[in-house]
Amino acid sequence: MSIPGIKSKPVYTGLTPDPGGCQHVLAGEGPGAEALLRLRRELAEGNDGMAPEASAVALFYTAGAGPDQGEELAEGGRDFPQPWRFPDTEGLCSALGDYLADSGMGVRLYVAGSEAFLWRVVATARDGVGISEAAIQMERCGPPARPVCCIHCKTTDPAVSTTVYQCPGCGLNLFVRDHFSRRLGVYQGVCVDAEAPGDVPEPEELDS
Amino acid sequence: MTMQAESTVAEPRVKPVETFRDDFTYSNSPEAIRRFPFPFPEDSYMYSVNIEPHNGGPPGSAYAPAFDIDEHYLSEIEERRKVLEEDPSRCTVLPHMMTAQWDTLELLMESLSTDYPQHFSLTREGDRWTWENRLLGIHDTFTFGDPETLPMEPFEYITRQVQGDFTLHDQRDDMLYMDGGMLTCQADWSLQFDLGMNFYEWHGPVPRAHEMGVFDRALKYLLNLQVGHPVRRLNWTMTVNPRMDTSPENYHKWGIDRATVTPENVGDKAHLRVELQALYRLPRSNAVLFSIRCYLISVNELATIPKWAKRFHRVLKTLPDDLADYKGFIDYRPIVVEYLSQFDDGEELAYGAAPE
Amino acid sequence: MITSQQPSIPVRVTGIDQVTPSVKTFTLEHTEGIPLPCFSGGSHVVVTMKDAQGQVCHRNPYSLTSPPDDGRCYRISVRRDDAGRGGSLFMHERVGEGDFLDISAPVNLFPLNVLARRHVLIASGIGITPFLAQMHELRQRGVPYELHYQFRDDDGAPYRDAIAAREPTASFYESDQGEYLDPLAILRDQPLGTHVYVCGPAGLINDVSAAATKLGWPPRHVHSEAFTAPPVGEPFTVVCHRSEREIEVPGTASVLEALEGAGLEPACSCRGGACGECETRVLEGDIEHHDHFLSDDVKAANSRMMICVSRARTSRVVLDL
Ligand code: HEM
Ligand code: FES
Repeated sequence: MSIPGIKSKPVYTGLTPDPGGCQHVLAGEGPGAEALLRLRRELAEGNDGMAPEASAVALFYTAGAGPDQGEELAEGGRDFPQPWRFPDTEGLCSALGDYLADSGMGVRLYVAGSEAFLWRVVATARDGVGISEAAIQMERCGPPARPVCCIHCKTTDPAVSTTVYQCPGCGLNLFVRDHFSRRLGVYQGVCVDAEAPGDVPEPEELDS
Repeated sequence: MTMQAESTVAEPRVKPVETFRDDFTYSNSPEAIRRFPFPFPEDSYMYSVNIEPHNGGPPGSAYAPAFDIDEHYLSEIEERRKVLEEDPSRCTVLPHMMTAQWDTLELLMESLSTDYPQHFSLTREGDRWTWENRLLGIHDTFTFGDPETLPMEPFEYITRQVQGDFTLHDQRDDMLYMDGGMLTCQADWSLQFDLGMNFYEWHGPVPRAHEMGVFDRALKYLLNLQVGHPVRRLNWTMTVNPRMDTSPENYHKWGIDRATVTPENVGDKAHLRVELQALYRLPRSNAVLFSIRCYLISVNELATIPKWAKRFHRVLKTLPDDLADYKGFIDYRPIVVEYLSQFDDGEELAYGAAPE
Repeated sequence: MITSQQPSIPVRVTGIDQVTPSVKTFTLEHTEGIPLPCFSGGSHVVVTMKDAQGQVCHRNPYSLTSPPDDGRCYRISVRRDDAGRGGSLFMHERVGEGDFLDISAPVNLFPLNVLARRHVLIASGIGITPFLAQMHELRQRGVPYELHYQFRDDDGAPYRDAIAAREPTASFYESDQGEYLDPLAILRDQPLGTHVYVCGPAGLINDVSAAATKLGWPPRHVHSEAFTAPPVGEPFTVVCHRSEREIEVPGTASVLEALEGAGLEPACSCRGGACGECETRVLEGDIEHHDHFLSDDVKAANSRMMICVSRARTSRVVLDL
């Protein structure tokens, strides 16, 4: 019998144009630019006969922790009516929230970036504006670091790259479980040596 | 609804406060042992869709009332108060569940005052309700539907007065969501973390049951749950010391207990932990209320019932490793099994979980 | 406070109003004068009708139209359907004030989504009924909504005046006057977070769904009322092979209930087709499966059945009991 994973762990697929949508909003961070470029090309090529008008595609981008691929996006050949480059995720989400608040039910949101970025954007769109998760696609880009919340002190570390890491809040050594909360956008970190204090296993790289 | 002519509900003799932490003074009286909801009708255990209608049970048993009040009432209420004082977020309800909060308050008040009229009473004059809880010395008049007239939100107000944990579930798109709860005596899962999850997500960590189709069938069944037709099931695990609050939040404090079980202390330290879970469709909100009533019994208390000692020995011995690991007792299981073996002569046991 | 499982609630008809030439509203109160359960907007009850011999002849679902938080009485509206299976005619012609009926507890298969930021309600004719209770609920919760109500003049427009007086934003469409609601126009500029609900004939439901799809609405934001009335089943005979007994299963009881009524105690637990306890080998006969337990293959083979919910398609089944 194979060992099945925990069912709450999200599965990320690549971004593909959703022909059911009427308005396509793209949000990216750092290396997510490549996924957005690819998506924009596919949208423009108009597979499935969609080829939305330029005005029906909006872009929001921040370099985040880098690399900054904004120039490549800018050279993608399309003009964007609204400001689309932001210094950080907060600025991006605030502008995105305003944009979506004026949008209609046909919106499709495509997000590409680190896992922390993906869920920060989802929270903005879903909790802030009421867009349903069915209208959101995500592609995780860059190193496989995870946002993890310490179950004991509730401190979130947005980019944990090993299972067994030290919580920046309370200093406990935490094991990273595959249990994931879509509401909070975090995995669960649980004290690894509670039953044998001091017996802390070597950290292992998280691979996905 | 018709009243039963004769109550089949036990009259609880409520003990003074005992503790579930530090000095652990909690224990079960012989009567409490006999009415313990022992969960094993057979010599082995595996997950299944073990659901049945929650429509009463043998007189005096834990199954007879809608919500069981027993000798540990004051102790469990006090423990809940302490946990909430340390971590108020153990009671959280998402804003869209306000109607379900009132539904819960009504169901609990109606049930308790019907099953235990000597301890609880509810008087309704239109929207003006008067609630009396003589065990806690509470006497409040409030306006049903107006949260301002209660000292706190209705769900927290009433669940602070009832034994057991509670979760609230919105139903939408043919799915149940964990949209609120009061969780102070949980078996190692976190409400704060699981809040907002769907049925499959919050069951994510459970081994085997997804692949067995248990959750698919259970969910379809629960989506059809009807007002006035509650259902129930039992779940179980083991806990070291009679500790109610085995939350992941505090795991770094209690996890160490698991390393303290020895052949000498196992009889008193190791506890069977059983949850009597009931599910109610709530009328105004169409939400589902899940009650998780936790019972703890030490191995030595359990061994005063010979049939249970034999059966528990066999169940533990044959429980698959992945379940023992998930339930958190795989490391000290051999000590418990060895200890219980002295009570088991290998006699064939009749089907059923009753003491004899 | 757990009472024995009550399959139905006994009610008395305390009022009948002819609201339009083809629609009657029935007011129902508990026979013992005690409150009926509150309910959520969109709920229906299944009304069991019995003929002069006391045999069940119809079971029809009707939306509750009274305020959901008022347990003193329920109201249902019945449109006379001369071409239908007869339940509505029975209600119109055979049920009078003071008569007794049995109803199920309220069930909601058409609930409002509590996370919606805005609700668009689209009704045609008698399809207005679930929205009456829902609008009551939405007003109380203070959530924005709009109603679009289309009707034919010769049918009358049940509740039109009451709605017009209470709902300043309601739009009415009289199809006889050439006024038709336009789903595309209604749905076009709705903000994110809107849900649409439609209750009416299949054609209207299809039009609204098609418009929503065209405008890119995710399917989960589109809801339509689909009654699944528990049909009055056909009676049949169960032959218990091992105990050599023959037991009649009436249209209104499950196999399990009939066996219990005959003094047998078959294994069972959930009584709802999920747990697997009552799985029984079928030796002869075809089965109409209603459970969530058996695999599709087993169902197709007709070799097993869950006796708590499934029924025979043939007049006789032989079970390994
Ligand atoms: C709304 C109702 C229910 C709620 C809120 C609920 C909640 C939970 C939670 C929180 C867990 C712990 C998961 C973890 O490890 O993090 C759990 C475990 C489990 N649940 Fe449920 N559950 C519900 C209904 C059911 C039903 C109807 C079944 C029927 C089969 C079921 C079967 C199980 C099983 C088998 C486990 C594993 C328990 C163990 O081995 O200790 N649950 N449930
Ligand atoms: S009794 Fe559970 S499936 Fe029939």
